Amino acid sequence: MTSPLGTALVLGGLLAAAFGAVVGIEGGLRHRAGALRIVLGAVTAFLLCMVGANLVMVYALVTHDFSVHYVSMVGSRATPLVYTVVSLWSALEGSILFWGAILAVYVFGFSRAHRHDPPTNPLLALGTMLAVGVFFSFLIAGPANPFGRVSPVPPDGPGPNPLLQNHILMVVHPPMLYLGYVGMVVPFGIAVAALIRGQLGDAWMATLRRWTLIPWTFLSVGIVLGAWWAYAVLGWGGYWAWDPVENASFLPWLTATAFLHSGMVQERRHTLKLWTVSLSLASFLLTILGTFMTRSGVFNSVHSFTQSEIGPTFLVFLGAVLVVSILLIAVRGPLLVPEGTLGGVASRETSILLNNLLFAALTFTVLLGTVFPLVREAFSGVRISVGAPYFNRMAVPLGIAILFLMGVGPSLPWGRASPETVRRQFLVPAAVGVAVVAVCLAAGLRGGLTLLTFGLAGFAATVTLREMLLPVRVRMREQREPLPQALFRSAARARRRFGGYVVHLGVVMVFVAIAASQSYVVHTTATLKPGERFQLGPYTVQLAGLRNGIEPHRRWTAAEIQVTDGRGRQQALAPRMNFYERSTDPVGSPAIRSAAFEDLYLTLLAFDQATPSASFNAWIFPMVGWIWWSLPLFVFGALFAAWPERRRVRSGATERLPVPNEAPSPGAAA
Amino acid sequence: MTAWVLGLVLASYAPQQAGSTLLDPAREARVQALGKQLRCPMCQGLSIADSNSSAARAQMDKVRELVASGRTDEEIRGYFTSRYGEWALLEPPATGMNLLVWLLPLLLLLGGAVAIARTIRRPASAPPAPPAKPAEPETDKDRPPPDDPWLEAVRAELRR
Repeated sequence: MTSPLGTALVLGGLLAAAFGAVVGIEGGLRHRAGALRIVLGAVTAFLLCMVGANLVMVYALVTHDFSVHYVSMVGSRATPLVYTVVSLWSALEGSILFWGAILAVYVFGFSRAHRHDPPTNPLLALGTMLAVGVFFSFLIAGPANPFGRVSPVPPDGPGPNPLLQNHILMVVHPPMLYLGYVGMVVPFGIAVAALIRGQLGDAWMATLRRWTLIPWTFLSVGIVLGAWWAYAVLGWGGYWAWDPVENASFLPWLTATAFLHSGMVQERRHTLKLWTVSLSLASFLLTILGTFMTRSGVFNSVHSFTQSEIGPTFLVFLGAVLVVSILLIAVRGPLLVPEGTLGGVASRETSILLNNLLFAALTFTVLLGTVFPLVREAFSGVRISVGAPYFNRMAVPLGIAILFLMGVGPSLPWGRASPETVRRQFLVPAAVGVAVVAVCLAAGLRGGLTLLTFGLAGFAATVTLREMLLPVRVRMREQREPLPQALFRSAARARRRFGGYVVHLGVVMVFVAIAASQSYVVHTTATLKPGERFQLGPYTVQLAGLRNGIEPHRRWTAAEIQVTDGRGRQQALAPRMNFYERSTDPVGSPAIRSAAFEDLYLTLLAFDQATPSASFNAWIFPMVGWIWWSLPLFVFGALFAAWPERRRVRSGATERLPVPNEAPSPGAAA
Repeated sequence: MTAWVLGLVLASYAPQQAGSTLLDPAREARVQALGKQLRCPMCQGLSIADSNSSAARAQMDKVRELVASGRTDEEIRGYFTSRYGEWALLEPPATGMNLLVWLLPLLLLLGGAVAIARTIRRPASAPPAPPAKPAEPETDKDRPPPDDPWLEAVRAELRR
C-alpha cells in the first residue's frame, strides 16, 4: 500500500510543480496579477505532496516495510530507531526525496513571505523555483524512484552505511547541508526574475539578500558540522580532506559569501548589479554541480553512494540551467545598468571588489582542482590526483589575503579615504597585529605563514571589535547611556552591520584554529601491552586492557586507556573499532579528550586479543575545537542580520525602498 | 553468549599487524612529510600518512624503509610513481597538461586585478564625482574629525 501511495504523491507533486511553473512564468511575463493566487495554490499542493511522500517513506522505514525498494536497501530491523528515521537521507533515492521536501518548504516559505508583493517578480521567481521542482519530482518519480516494489519481500535489510550510524552528528549534518544547498534555489529564482525583467530594484535586491543569507547560514553550519563529524568519526585526525564532496559544499558557500559582500556595493553605489546577480546564479549552479558530483558516482569519495542511473539526467539538467543562465546574462544582463560609480583606491568598495576577486579565484581553484583529474583522464587517459597538498598550497595564500581584507574593508569608508584617515584607522589594529606576532615569537612559536595568520587575525579582530564598539562608546559618552543599553541599541539599530561583524569574529576564530591545529600538531604511534604506557606532550597514555561488546547492529572492541595529563588529572578513554554485520572493514571510533586549548586524539589502529596488545595513533591538536565552537557566532550573527526589522516598510507598498543614496543610514550600513 | 563468542572470533579477523617502529625524530619527520604527498591506494583521497588502513600503514613502513636506506625524497616519490603511476602523487607535478591546474588560477587573479584596477581608475580620471558624503557642519570641538560616515550617521540619529 505504501509504494503506490508514495508514487502517487510524487506524481501529484510533479503535476503541481509543472502547472505552477507554467502559470507563474507566463503570468509573470504578461503581468497577470490574478495568476499569483493560482501559483500560490500550486505551491501549497506541491508542498503537501512532497512532505506527504517523505512521511510515507519514514512510515515505511519505521515499520520495516521491506516491500518498498528503498527500505530493502537501507532498512534493517537491528538499526536503532533514530538511525532508521535518519536513513531517509542515508542513500541516493531517499536523499533526493528528502531534497524534494526541503525544496517545497523553501518555495512555500517564499510564497507566503511575498504573497502581498507586486505580483510580477514573485510570479517569475516562483515559476522558476517550481521549474526546478519539476526536475526534482521527475527525478524522484523516474530515475531515482525510492518507492519501487520489491518481490519477493525480503525478511530483513542491510541497514544504512555504517559510517552514517556511528555518530549523532549524522542526524544533524546532512539536513543542514541540504537546507543550505536546496535553499539556493530561492535566490536563483529571485535572480532569474530580476534578469527576465531586466531590472533590480532596491526592494527586490533586499529580498535576494535575505533569501541568500538563510541558505548561507545553513550551509555554514552544515560545513562546520561536517568537519566536526569527520574529526569525531573518521579517525584520521583531520576535519577537512579536500574530498570532492566537501569541495562541492564549499563552492556554493564561497560564491554566496562573495554575493553577500558584493550585494553591499550594489546597494550602496548601485553598481555591480550584473556581477551580483551572476553570483546568485553561480551559487545555484554549483549546488546542482555538487549534487551531481555527490550523487552520480563520478567521484570516489566517502560521501558518494553507489553508481546510479541519475548521472545523465542530472547532467542534462545542469546543462540546461547553465545554458539558461548564460543566455539570461547575455541577453538581459546589459539591462542591469550601473546607476552609480565606484570610489577611490582606498575605499570600502575597492576592498569588497578585491574580496570578490579572491573569493572568485578560490572558487575557481577549488572547482578546477576537483574536476581536473576527470578532465585529464578524459583527454589523455592518464590518471592523476589533485589532493590536499595542491589545495592547501593554493588556498592558504588566498585565505590569508581574505583575512587581511577582513581587517582592511571595515576600516575604510565608502567613497574615498584621505591618507590621514587611513593612517589613523590602521595604526592601532596594525600595532595589535604586530604585538600578537611578537608575543607568539616570545612564546616560542615558529612558522612564517602561521604567525602571519595569527598577526592578521589580531589585526582583523581589533578592527571588527572597534567597529562594533565605537557606536556604543558614542552613545555612552554623548547620550550617557549605560553600557548594556548602549550596546543593545547600537546593535539593534544596525542589525546587518552588527550581525556581519559577529560572523567576522567567528571567521577569525576559524582561521586561528585551523592555523594552530595544522601547524603545532604533535603525533606519535605506539604499540602497548596492558600496563605499558607512552608519553605524548604532557600526557601519559596507559593501556589498561581490551574490552569487547555487542550491540544489536554491531560488535566492537575497545582499548581501555588511562590518560594522565600534566597536572596529574586522570581520564579514561576508549578508542575502538566497530564491526558491522554487512561491512567487511571495521569502522574506527577515535577517543578524544577535549580541553579549551588542545585535544588529545587517540585511534585504535590494530589489536591482538591473544597477547594482548594494541597499536595506536595519538595526536595533540592545539585549538582544533575552536573551529566548531565558532558555530554560535555564525548562527547568532546571521540570525541577527537576517531578522526582519520591526518597523519595516511593507515591501509590498513600494517597489523601491527609499534608501538614501548619499547620507548613509546606520540600518543600511552593513 | 554464543553471539559474544562469535563476536570474538570475527573480531580476530581484524587487522592485527603490530604498530610500526618509528625512526629517529628527524627522519620520521621526513617520513611523515613524504607520506602526506602520497595517495593511499585503498582510500578516498587520503594520504598514506593520514589513513588508518592497513594498506596505507604498510606503505608508510615502505617509506620508512626507503628513508632509512638513505634514498632521497625524489627517489622515494619515483618508487611510488613507477608502481602506481602519477596517480600516487596527491599534488600533480607542474609539467605538461598539469600546468593548467597551477596556472589558470593565477591567470584569473591577474586578469581580475587588471579589471578592478581599470574600473577604479576610470572614475578618478573622469570629472570629479559628486561627493560621497555630505560635509558635516563641525560644531563640537571634542569630537574626532567627521571622516567616519558611519559614526556620523549614528550621531545624526541620536540628535533626532
